[in-house]
Amino acid sequence: MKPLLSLKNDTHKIMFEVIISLIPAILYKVYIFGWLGAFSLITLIATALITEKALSKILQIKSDLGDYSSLITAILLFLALNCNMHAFIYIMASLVAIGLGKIVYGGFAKNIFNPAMVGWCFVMISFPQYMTKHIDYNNSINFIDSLRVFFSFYNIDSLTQATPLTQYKHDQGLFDSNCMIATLNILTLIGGLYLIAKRVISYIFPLFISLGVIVALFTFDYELFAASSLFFLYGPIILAAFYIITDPVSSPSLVKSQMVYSFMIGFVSILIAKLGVFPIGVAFAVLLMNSINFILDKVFNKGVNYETK
Amino acid sequence: MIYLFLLILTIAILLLIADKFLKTSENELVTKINDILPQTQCGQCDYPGCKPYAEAVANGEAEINKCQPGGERVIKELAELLGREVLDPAKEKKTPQVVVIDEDKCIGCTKCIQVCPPDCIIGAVKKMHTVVEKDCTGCELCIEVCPVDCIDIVQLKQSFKYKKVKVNID
Amino acid sequence: MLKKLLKQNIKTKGLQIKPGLKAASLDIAQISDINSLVYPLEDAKLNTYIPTVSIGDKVKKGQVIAEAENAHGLKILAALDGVIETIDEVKAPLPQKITPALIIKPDNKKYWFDDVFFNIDVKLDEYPKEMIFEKIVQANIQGLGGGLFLSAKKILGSNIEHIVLNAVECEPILNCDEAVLYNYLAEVLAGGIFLKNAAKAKTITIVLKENKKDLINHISHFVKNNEQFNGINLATVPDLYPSGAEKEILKHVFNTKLTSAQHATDHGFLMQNVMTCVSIFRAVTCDLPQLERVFSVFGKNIESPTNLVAPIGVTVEDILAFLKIDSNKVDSIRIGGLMMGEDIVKGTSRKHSALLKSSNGIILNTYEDKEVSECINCGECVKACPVDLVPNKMFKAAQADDFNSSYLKNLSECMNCNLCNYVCPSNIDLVGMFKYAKQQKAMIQEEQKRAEYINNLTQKKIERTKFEKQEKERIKQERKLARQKRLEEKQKKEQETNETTA
Repeated sequence: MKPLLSLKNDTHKIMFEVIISLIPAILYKVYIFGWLGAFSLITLIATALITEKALSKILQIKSDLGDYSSLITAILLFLALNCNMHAFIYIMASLVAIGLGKIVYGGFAKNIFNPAMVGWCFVMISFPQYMTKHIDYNNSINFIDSLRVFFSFYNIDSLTQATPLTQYKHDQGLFDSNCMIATLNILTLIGGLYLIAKRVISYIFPLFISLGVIVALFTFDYELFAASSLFFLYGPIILAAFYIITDPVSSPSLVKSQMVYSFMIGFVSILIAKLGVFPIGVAFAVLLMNSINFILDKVFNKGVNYETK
Repeated sequence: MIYLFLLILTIAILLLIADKFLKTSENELVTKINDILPQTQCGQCDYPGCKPYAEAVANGEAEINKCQPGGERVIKELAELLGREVLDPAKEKKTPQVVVIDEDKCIGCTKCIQVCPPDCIIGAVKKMHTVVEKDCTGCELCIEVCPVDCIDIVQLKQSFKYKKVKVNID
Repeated sequence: MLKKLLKQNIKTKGLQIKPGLKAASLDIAQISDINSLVYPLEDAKLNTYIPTVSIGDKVKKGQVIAEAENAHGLKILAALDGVIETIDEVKAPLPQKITPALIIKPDNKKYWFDDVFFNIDVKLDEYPKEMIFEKIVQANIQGLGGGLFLSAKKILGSNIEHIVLNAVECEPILNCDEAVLYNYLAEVLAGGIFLKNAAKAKTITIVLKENKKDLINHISHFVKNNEQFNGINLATVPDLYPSGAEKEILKHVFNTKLTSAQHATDHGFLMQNVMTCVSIFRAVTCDLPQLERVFSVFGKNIESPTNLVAPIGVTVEDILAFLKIDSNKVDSIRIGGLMMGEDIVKGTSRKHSALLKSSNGIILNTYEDKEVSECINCGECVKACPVDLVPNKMFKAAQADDFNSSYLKNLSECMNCNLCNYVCPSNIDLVGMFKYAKQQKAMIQEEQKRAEYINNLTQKKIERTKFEKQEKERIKQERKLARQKRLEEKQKKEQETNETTA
């Protein structure tokens, strides 16, 4: 029998808190991308919810849209993806995230990998030409033009250019003074700090991922290390640190393993970016560490070791 | 063509050798299975004891779900050991029980003594028999052989059991 | 100073729980009318009792009416003169289950309290220790803190050096220990001194919660002003749940860590609840058996929560009637504390739910039916666990019946404190699962032990039958040989006689 007393928090409220903290970032991103942003957000959320409902019905899995988990996945995908892509890509991202990232494991809270990152990696590998290009932040495209861009492939190229980080990769030392990404990241940071204040997430994750990133930059790229504050400001680390690696389902539950987990994500993501073909490897690092978080917990679980005199 | 034939031949020979040398010896497997079995020697698997049943399982003659006192735990462990599928128990697990001899009716034929696997019936020829309740496994083997039907089953009182907590209520 | 600082470094893990219920007043009221006494023949520790009386027997106050089956020396005593009404017929609700009960119809509704107070002129050290021990055994004194251990057994523990009087009621709101200390302080201390003399211990320490300043002042004042009680120490633990558990107190106050298999007595500590000390005092000075206990009654929408003293076995119905609480307005009854106590099975008669020896509280109207959702692995339980277990992973291992899992290795350290249930955002009953897992683990071990034992017997029988067969054959052959010999001898004799006759 359940004890009568329990804290007044519950799973749904925690998830709701996460969504609330993300609202400023979402609004700002929609604002800077104009209609394209709104379309991609709506497509991602709609696909996620429909996929969840339909697949769980087919596979006869108990699911409840009220737990907001697929909504959060869609929102995280929106924040992680660019807004200059075709509708098909968003649909695929959401579908894979919910279908392959969550439902195949048995539904809510049973997944091994972070669903948003599964979706992101899928489109990154399938459509790299779109993922590494970036739109000129332009919210002046009107509704009809946006629709045309969104549902066709033909004039995206004319609207896009490389992201600051890709640019950096090709042309080192030159940072685009695009303050919009920075603003977006700062809004995300504020949301994350709100979550820490509300005790929804632990401060260990952002702290140790930053440490990991700094250590990796120090060992692999001293120049970038010198400008690491800019790196944090323009990169995807903040979103990952506060919202992606803190996902309780796919992260370890012991404090020590959480430290190792987040440190390794920071370190490995820089390693992938430096040695691999992709400009940033946070998502890959997250998936890698997701797969070993059970082992981490087992390693650090020593239980009570009462010493006897 | 000849090379191919030779290659296949050598592989076949190698496989044969491997089969001979790397196979887990049957005895080892039997003891392993025997260790998993509950050793009540009740014979409810239609084999005379735990060891014969273990031999039958090792030879692939018997299903792994026949051990009644072992229940689901034994099936699970056997399935893991042998790489077979987990089956539902062939017979339902009985509640713990012992047998009691009606001492007025007993004629002292010693038939039950001979058949009792853990040797828990005490008595002599033409003397009254009795069951040592502590050692009785409730295997019911003695009931069939008794010529005067003086052996009864007594259900043991079961202590309170906690139920498994369910999270998904589908 | 340095020692103090070092001591504070030992962190007592736990939480402050404030459920927002009204605490009972510190006066102890005495229950008056008793319609029937109900004694369940099973207790919270899963011991079963066998009645030693039969229906219609007249019993006297203090008479033994049932004894524990598993022979722990536990007994049930009748609290009033009366007639045994039924045995086994009525099922009394216990937490989580319903058990057969023994019901006594008292001759006289009024219960007479033998309130014995401490007299300063009595010299406590003059009581010989053999007598104290004998009287404790006679009075059937069990620990009233909830463990129900026999006090006499604790005293027999070897090399006891410290007596610890546990007054840390760490369950939220519950304050019956505090009430006992305010009302029966001298008796508590006297009981402590008896314990000390009986066990040949050196020190007595009362352990209290830090935040109860008034009580601490009261006690230290009292101890200073009475010569007999000089030398009794006071210690405090932080106001956290579950700092009142035996192991937590030893860890915090005495810097001694126990493993799950050890008891406090193994380390030279004898811990007793303060209420038990009062029982000991009464048993030693006036030969009174342990029949009563103090408990708190409180709950939601209860205007006047009270500390009550009542004989063990009194029904919840009588308690509600005494407190003038409308029984129809009470939805749920919880026996024990808010955290560790358990609800009695719903829909069972209040006439037959009795006050148990281990129940330190009766809590009304606090049941909430909560929606259970999937574990999201949030790790709140890991942070909350006072013994550093990993409840979420343990739950999953137990769910899969994987009792060999490394997470379930230290399962026995879990003391069912319910903190993980308290913090769980998904409202999962983790402790319920751990209770199941503990039982299953024990059952598997027992099964294996028994299998080994039976196997041994079977082997012996096989050897025996073999030996018997061999013996039989040997005897057969011997007889054959003997017969042959006899035949030969006969023939020889015949030949000889033939020869002689010839």
